[in-house]
Amino acid sequence: MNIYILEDNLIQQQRLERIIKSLSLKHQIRYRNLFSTAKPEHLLSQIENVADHQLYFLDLEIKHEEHKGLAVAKEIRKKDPYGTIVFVTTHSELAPITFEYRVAALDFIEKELREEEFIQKVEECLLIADSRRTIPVSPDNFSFENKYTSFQIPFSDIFYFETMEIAHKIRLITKSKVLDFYAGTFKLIIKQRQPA
Amino acid sequence: MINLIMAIQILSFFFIFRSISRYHFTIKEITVWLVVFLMIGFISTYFIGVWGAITLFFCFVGISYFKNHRTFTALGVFYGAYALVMNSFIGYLAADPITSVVEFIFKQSTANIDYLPYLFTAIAPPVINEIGLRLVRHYVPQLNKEILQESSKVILFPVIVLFIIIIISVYPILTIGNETGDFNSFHRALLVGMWLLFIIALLYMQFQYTHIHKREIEKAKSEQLVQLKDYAAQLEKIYDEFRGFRHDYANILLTLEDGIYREDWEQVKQVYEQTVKPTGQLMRKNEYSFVKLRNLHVSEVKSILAAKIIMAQQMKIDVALEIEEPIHLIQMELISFTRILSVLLDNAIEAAAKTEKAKISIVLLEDPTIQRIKIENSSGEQVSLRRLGERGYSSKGKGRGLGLYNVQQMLKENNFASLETEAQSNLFSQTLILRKTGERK
Repeated sequence: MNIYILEDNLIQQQRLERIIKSLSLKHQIRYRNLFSTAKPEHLLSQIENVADHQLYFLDLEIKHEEHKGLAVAKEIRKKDPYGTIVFVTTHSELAPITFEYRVAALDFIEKELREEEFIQKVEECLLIADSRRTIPVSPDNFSFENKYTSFQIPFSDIFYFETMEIAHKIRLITKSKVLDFYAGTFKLIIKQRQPA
Repeated sequence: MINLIMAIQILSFFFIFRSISRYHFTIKEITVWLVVFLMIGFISTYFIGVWGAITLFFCFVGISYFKNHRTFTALGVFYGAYALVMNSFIGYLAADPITSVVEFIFKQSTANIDYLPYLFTAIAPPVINEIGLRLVRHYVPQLNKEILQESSKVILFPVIVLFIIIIISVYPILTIGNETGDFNSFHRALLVGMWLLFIIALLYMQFQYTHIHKREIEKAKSEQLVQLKDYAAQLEKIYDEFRGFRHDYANILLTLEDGIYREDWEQVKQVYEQTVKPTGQLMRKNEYSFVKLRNLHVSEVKSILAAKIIMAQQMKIDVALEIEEPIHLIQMELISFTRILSVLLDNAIEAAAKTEKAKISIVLLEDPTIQRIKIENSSGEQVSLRRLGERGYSSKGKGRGLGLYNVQQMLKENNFASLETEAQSNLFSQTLILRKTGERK
């Protein structure tokens, strides 16, 4: 596992490094590299071996450029679809649901948290990333797109589809969701099911 | 041959009805209904002649009844009456021109073409009606069915009554005409009068609709104004808090500076613990996410969001707002959209208010191809996902639950909108997914 830190405040950067090192010792987590930088370009050029699991700690606001962090996260996702992304940020930039949708971020750690809470959060993220190292992330999604809608749901969550009283409207029932959408024809759904 | 023409006439009622009502029919439904229509049409015509069409009228009301989830609506009756009058109207208007055109084209022909004018006259109404409706729909903005339903007393009832008068007075004359082949001058005048009445009825409908629509918009505009005022007041309040903070901040810096120069670390520590640290907590309040509304550039939606957020905050609900990218356009007709949004927000607020740690998240996401509006609330009770949106089903108890039902009714008309509902142990969320079509202004 490689660990990357993107943080432009040197003190915060060292603080995070220190915490990660001591936690790794405590839990015997072995990582190959711990790479800290203040420059997004440096970070992006360092991402090479995607076969290995990677853990990223990203600050959202870099040099007062708003959404630099999100843009970086998107770039990272392009190169490394399965890496674990954690945002370390101040509360005012927090937008958990947005970032979960955008880059499937694992968590958000607020810099303002008390030291113990902060360490605990980092610890949780480290442990999750470490467990992902061995279990391959299943990308087995049912993705549906037509003129009228577009969504993705893991195959394993799907219970069943049913028709609604309105012609061409389909209801999808999954583990925790119900999704009503306009399908056009049901044939299309069957087509989408087959692997490309 | 006469049977074929009659069949076409009966079927054309159905096609006019279909194109005015825009109900969705599957191929199976169409086949079944056409067969039913032919049977009813032939049987009733055999017994009561032209009045057989009246039985078809009741069939239309019946179809509407089922298509509207087993409720009678004025709109459904209107569609039926429209189909009846329109068919006779166009048939009457088209009969003479078609006859002369056919006679002109087949002047040289020696074949028996007596039936041709009748055939074309029978086919004409659904075709002309379809073309006319498409033209109207292309140039005139679509009528909002919600408004029509709500103001049906003013808009639809007079029109339906007029249609029925027209049917009752026109049909006997047409019967006489069919038998004798010609009309006398009184009947002719009455027919023309009735057709004029028909056109007046349609114009009246359009006029009333525009009027009510305008009033609706004005009402919405003035509501919006009030909401935007509240929004401005709330922003000022937040600004005041910040101003107070800025004032304190200067004092804090001075005290710290003093402590540092005198190397009095006890004083520095004390000031930091007592005054600097608490400001960090102040910054963590979600109330400030309110400011993210600035990314939303659709004032109709902005005002309603502001109003609901303020309302929720007054109810001591923690509201987190995420609008991270600028949004300039909502991919849906705004009247329907604001109504849907209000219902979803009201439901979320009501459900969250009953929980211990009341929280609502409102998220607007803009993707290249879709727009997502997610409203999440803390929830205490288990909601049945399957029954949600059924008419009258509500987790709030009996007699409620019309809100979400109405949302689904409005979404029914919109193929580009999907609704996702998610229930986890303590969270409940609804996401409206709007697919961008690129066709909207």
